[in-house]
Amino acid sequence: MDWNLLLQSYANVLLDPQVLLMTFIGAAGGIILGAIPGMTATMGIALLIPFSYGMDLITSVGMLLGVYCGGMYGGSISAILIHAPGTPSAAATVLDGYPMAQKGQAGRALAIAMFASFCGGIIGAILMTFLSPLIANAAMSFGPAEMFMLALFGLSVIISISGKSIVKGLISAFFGLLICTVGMDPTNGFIRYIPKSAYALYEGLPFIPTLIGLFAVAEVFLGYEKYCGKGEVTEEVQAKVTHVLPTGSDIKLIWKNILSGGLIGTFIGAIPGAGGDIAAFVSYGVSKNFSKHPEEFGKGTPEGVAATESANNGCSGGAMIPLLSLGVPGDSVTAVLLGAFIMKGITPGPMMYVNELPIVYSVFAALLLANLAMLIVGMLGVRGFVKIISVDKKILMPCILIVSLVGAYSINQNLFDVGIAVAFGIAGYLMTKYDFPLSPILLALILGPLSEQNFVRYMNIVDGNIGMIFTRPISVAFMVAAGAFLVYSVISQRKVNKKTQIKDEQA
Amino acid sequence: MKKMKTQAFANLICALIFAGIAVYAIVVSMGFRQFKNSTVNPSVFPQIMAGGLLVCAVILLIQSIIRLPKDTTQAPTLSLRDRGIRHMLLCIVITIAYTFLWEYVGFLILATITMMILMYLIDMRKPVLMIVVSVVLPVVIWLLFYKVLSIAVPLGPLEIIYDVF
Repeated sequence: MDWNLLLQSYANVLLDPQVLLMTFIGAAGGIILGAIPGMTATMGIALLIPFSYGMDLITSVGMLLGVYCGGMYGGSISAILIHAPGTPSAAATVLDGYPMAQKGQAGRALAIAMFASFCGGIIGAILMTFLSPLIANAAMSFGPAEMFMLALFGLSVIISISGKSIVKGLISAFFGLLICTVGMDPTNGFIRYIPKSAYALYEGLPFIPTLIGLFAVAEVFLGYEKYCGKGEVTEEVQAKVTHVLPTGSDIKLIWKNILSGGLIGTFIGAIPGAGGDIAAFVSYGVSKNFSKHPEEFGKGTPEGVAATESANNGCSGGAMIPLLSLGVPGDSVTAVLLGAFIMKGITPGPMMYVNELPIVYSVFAALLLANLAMLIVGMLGVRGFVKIISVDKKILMPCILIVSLVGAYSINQNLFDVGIAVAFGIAGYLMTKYDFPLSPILLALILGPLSEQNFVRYMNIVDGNIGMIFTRPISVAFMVAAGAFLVYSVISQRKVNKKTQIKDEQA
Repeated sequence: MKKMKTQAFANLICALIFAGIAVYAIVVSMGFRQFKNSTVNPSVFPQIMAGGLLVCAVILLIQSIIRLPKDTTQAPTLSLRDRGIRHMLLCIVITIAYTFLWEYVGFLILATITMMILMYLIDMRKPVLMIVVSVVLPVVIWLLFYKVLSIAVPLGPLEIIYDVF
């Protein structure tokens, strides 16, 4: 590694006023966009591409990475405040972020989410700087068998996010996996469970409208029942913010989760096809299982928020690794970034480390700067964001519904998606009411298509001989890890249930 | 307490519903076309998932039957005698109507009217505030989506605005 060149590139990026300005603008835009349910960082980057035509490469990359990192954190704002994950990557943040807000700790949750996002992003950027070629090679050895096993490993987290009843969690998960099979089958193109005229469902259920329905719309229905019920008055949720950054004691509590989340996020982000949503759930499951008090997870613990947010932002660095090292985008955002590079006449790939090393180092620096910009803009905004939940629920509930439904429409600009959001809103309401957890459905919707596609692809490659999967070390490692994780999760969840039962009896 | 109002009975009903969904999925998947050259046919994955759902639903069913005689936990109600349930159902009906009418009435008009009705439904009784919020929010959302994000939401009779702007 050429340290002089590395430091020089960092100095050039961090001291360039134009790069600084555009990265901060990008981060602010990303946070706002990410906070709107239905809007994703990919959409923000795609919208900004035309504006980057006139800028030089690093300025435009800085701006686009600002949107990327800002969008990742922005998604957690609505997840924490109104139970509506702004982006799929923030879906796992709902699990503990929203209960924290309900306990009057919205400011604390936002500060932790922001700090964890920043740290996760920095971990990703550092790993990207020093281990890029190494991780890229490991990630590239992922074929269909490994991807299938990664999906199974991801699904092993289900027990950890099932709440009180493992059976109900599994029912939710299988229900989610079953509805993933609606639409065209990935290999033969056979239409399953829908009439041939239902074109809108050929590619399966649209993920973001389903997410909006299950969480945001269902929450509004539950709110109407609660606040219009027997003399129930809309309670004031305390929204006082004393710190815009986590306190020393909070950092002491969450640093392990941040570290593990950042590492998990970077590694999963580096695997093409796997993104922040998977990383966040895996990190949450790992943090819960290794926590000294797993019973607190799902009830509003800072560790849960830190684990998910550091993982989804760690992905930003991870996803850049295969892009720069091999020219293979790790997710949809880096696919758009690849377009930006090509537009500027630079083709990412192994030769970039030989011919364009200053640009590679400048991109590393731009990612670091983007995370810093996200932290600063986030800190400035925390007090303002928190005010949302102090708005009277009688105004807030209708507003959430209208914004959520527009968000569902915007992703494909299709009114059918609004119908999907409403249908899943009703399903989400009923399932929440009868204690069926919603997060396993979401995880199933993320991992179901990934597992089926890769399973079928692998079976076609090995001509139906499933035993061949045991000859692939990474697959076997994931299989063993998934099995161990599953068993450990069941034991851990039983302990949690016993503890909770004893506490309830004592109360 | 009547057994039909217990959590165990609610779980039993839920288990039957999910078991029904699983059986339906399995039966329908049996009619899926089989491809001779394919190692994994389109029915395989749905049948595995529906099988898993069925097994879990049966476990929940057995658990519920065992717990039913002793269970005293009251299940959440869906009774129409509860004002909260009535208002929630009205909210769902309004939301469904909103979805169907969006294309014809347009976002700006429909969202304004819907917001006012929904606020009234949740016992908001400040007319000025209701009108201001119901008008301002849809306009701000529309401007944000149209001008910043280049997303044109259907405006129905007000579609003419797109020609002006």
